[in-house]
This record gives sequence, C-alpha cells and structure tokens, in this order.
Amino acid sequence: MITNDHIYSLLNDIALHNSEKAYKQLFMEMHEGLIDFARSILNSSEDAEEVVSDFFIVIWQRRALLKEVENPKLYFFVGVKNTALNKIKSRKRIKPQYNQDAAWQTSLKSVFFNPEELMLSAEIVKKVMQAINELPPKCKIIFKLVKEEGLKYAEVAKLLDISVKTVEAQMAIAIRRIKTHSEFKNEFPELHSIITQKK
Amino acid sequence: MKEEKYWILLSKKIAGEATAEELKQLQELINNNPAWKTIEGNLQELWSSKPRNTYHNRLQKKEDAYLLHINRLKEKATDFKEKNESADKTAFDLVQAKRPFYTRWITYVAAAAFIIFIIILYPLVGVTGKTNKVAATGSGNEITVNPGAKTKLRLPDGTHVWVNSDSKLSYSGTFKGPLREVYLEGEAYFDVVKDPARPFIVHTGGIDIRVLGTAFNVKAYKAESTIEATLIHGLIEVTKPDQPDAPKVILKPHEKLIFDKYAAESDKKTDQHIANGNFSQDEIKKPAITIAQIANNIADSAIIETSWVYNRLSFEDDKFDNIALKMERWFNVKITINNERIKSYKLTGSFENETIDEALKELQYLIAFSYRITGREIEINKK
Repeated sequence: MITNDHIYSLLNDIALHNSEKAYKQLFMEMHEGLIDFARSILNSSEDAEEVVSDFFIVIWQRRALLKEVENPKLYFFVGVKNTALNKIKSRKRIKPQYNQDAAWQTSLKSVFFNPEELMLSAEIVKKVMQAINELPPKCKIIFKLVKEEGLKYAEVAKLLDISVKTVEAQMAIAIRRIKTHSEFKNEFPELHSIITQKK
Repeated sequence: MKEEKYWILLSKKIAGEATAEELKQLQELINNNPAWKTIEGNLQELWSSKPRNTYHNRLQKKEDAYLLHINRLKEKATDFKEKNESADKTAFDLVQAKRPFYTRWITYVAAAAFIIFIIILYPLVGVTGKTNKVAATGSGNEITVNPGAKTKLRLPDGTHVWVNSDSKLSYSGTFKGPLREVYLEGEAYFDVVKDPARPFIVHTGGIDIRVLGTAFNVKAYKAESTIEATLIHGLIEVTKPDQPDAPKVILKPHEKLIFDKYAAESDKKTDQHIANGNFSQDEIKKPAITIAQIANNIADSAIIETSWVYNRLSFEDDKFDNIALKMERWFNVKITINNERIKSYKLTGSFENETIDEALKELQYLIAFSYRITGREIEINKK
C-alpha cells in the first residue's frame, strides 16, 4: 500500500518535471484500489475502469496543480467518486450507490491475509476472508478503505459522506466478525471440546 | 452496552485510530472483564498481514491496464509532450469526457510506438507481394506439427510459440528484418516479446495479425469457416484494409475476435446488392466480425481457447460434431458420425490424459451412441 508521502513525491515529479515514469508508477500503485471503489458506486467494471481512466487523464491535464494537493490519497478517492457520480448523472439510468451485488465480490480477493505469516491455519484464514466478503456492502467498503487503502477514519467519513461515529461502528462490526471466524473453537467445536476436556 | 464499546475501542486500537484516552478506557474495560483479555491476540496479526509481492502478482494485469489507459489518453488528443496547461482553481472540477468511451469502433491515428493492427483480407489464394512485406525466402524455417501432436518453440527474438496439432508454422531464416513475420496454418498460441521497433505479424491466409508484445491465440484452420483470435494479455487493434475509413476495433484482454470467412464474402455481395439499388428490408446481414468476451476471473490455464497449451482439450457448450473435429486433431484419428441428430447435441467437458477409447467412453455418459474403432478410424452410430 502506497503512502501519502510517496504519492506526494510522485505528484511533485509529475507537476514539476512532466515525468511519465512517475505518472505510470502512480497509476500502477493506485488504479486497482480506485477501480474497486468506483465499482461500488457504479456496479459495472467497465464503467469503473472508464471513470478511473478519465480521472487519471484529468490528473495529467492538470498536472501543474498537483503539488498543491494536501491529502493526495484522499484527493484521488474523492476525485474518482465525483467522476463516478457525474457519470451517473449523465447516464441517469444506473441505480443506487453502494450496490450490494457481485460488484464487490471479485475485488475482495485483494483484502488478503497471508497464512504463511500467521499462526493460523489456511482453513481459518479462508474462513476469515469469507466472513469479510459477506459483510454488508457499506461495512465492507469501509473496512477495505481502512485496511487496504490506508485511509483514516476521518478521511473515510469525508469520502463517503457519513459520520466518523458510523465509521467506528462499522469497523467494530467488521473486526468482531473477523474475530468470531478466526476462533478455532468456533470453527471446529467438537475438536475443541475434545482437546480442552479435562480428564 | 459495555461490550459494544469494547469492540469499538478495540477496533480503533487495531486500526491505529485510538487516542491515548481511548487506550486507557480500553484497558479499564479489559481489566474489569478478564474474559476479554485474550481476544486481541490474533487480530493485530491479521490486521497487519500483507500479501507478499502483491505488486508483482498482478503486474501483468496492471501493465495491460496502463497500456489501455495510455491509449485512451492519447486518443483524447492530449500528448505527453504537451507543455503544462495553466491551471484552474478548483482541482475537483473535473472535465467530462466528450465522447463515450469503449464505443466498439474507434478511429485511431497510429502514433510512433504503439502501432498495432490486424489486416483482414478476404480469402486470398496466396500472400501477395507488397513492398513493405518481407518475402519468404527459400532459406526459411518451417515447423510442421502432425495431427495428434503439439510442440513448443522459441523464435530467434525470444517469442514463445506453442503450435497445436495439424498445424504449420514458418518464418524466414534470420528473423532479423524490420518486421517479425510468421506464417501460420492451423492453431498456435503466441507469447510475443515486446519490441516496439519491430512489429510482429502473423499471416494466416485470411487474417494478418499485427502486434507489439502480447499473448494471444490464433485459430485458423483451412477446413473451418471462421478464424479466431483470442487475446490474453496486451492489446490488439483491428482494421479493415479494404475499408480504410471504417472504424477500428480494439481487443482487450480476455476478448475474442471471430472472423467469419463466408459472411465476409456475402457482406461484399450484400453491399454490392444495396449499391445497385435492389435490397429488401428483410435482408439480415450476418456480421463478418464478432467480439466475444471470455471469462475474466479464471486462471489463464482454465480458459477454453488456450487450454490446449496446458495439455487439456476443453469444450463448452460445443456441438458434438465440432468436438469430434477437435478430437480428430488431438488424437490423430478420423471420426465419422452416422447420425445427423446427435451431431448437433451440445456438450461441455475436457480431456486431459485420456486415450481415445477412454474419451469416447466418457462421452457416452452424455450421449447415447455406440462406436467402433478400426485402426485410426472411428465410426459413431446412434444407439
């Protein structure tokens, strides 16, 4: 996950030196997360790709401005959101935001836990990932933005137009769900009771 | 109530959002409820767990996406070489795209580095000697793959080619000219090394495919009525050389272009028909070119069109007689189906290590037929 500082230095490169290399790097680092996010608004992969590409085109066209951006990461997400909403307005037929459908399922494989590093079995890690996948859409988006994209609670609140309290509550739900699904005793209750049975 | 507060504070701690005050509150809650003490353990670990090398895992996909994006950017007439434009105040005020994107037919002016196009020729007798083509000289290399066999080879520029059964691939000896050209009859899968200065061309005697660096499958058997090109990675652009003003098609990864050799012919006739002033409203033109989507979220090795590269013969919703045709090449046999009805039954499945006998037995689970094998000839009758 790319840091704000890193993004900032890339933006500088682009703004001051017209660096294509920095531009490409920026794209490569950010576009996946942005597409996932756009997809949650637009419910279409093709639209999402278009919107992110459009945004990156504007980034290039307005590159002189870039070094003045304060919170680059948030800037990107808000920018993509606005582009997406504009698209909806111009289309007038795509329905509500944060659609609950298949749109989020394919992208969630990027919320990843590496079983090799953890003390947990691959089985349990898989259960945890499934649990996250099955979170209600809003909760899932919030969780992903915080864990995968590294946005702060306040930034997420601003981006999604909700209160920080809501973000806190949703994160709590997500974390608790992870917890219950990562418990050995919840996954294999019979086994657990055999092991812990006192003789 | 307390428990909810606990989870909120705990999750803030794990996400790194808890203030000092909140950490203290959390600690107090835990002290008063010892049962909660052990919960935190794995969660922190899970939270900070990051996949190894994610960047590289999906590098290819990202490269493809970037290629696509740059293509669009250039099309919007903004070149990388332009100077900085003067800025507006509001960075959030985004310019709306003027034209709808991904209209299937886009006009594209070839820029220096990214020239990719397919020249579609109506069935020709042979390759015509155009001045910008390297003529196939006598000192060429030719690889013939017999029915029932497959082979993989490496061209002098590093490009990998898997050649399927009953196919022939040839290229001129040195492969060093301004163009990298190969001639294909049959089916092959190409993994082309990127070389912007030297476009790679596949001549199939029906379609010429011009690419830069990409992975794609071409199926151009003489006996079949269509020519297919399936793109796995990279980007392919298609134009009609006899209609230079016609818009071009861009193939994205996981898209397949099907060129109907006969519809193309009848297209010509229909056009002529219309030009002559006599046409009926009911004349439905079958498109010469169709673009199909192949599944996006499956592994490369599971894609039907290229499964043969991985030693699997796959078919999906395919007619029995089509499958028989594939099996003929795969097993090097001749199959005759003596019943019109079962020829059009549709099947889905795959063969990996089966012998022809085993494969037929498996198919019998799906269709009621009997078969007789005599040497390399197989006769199929309805049961």
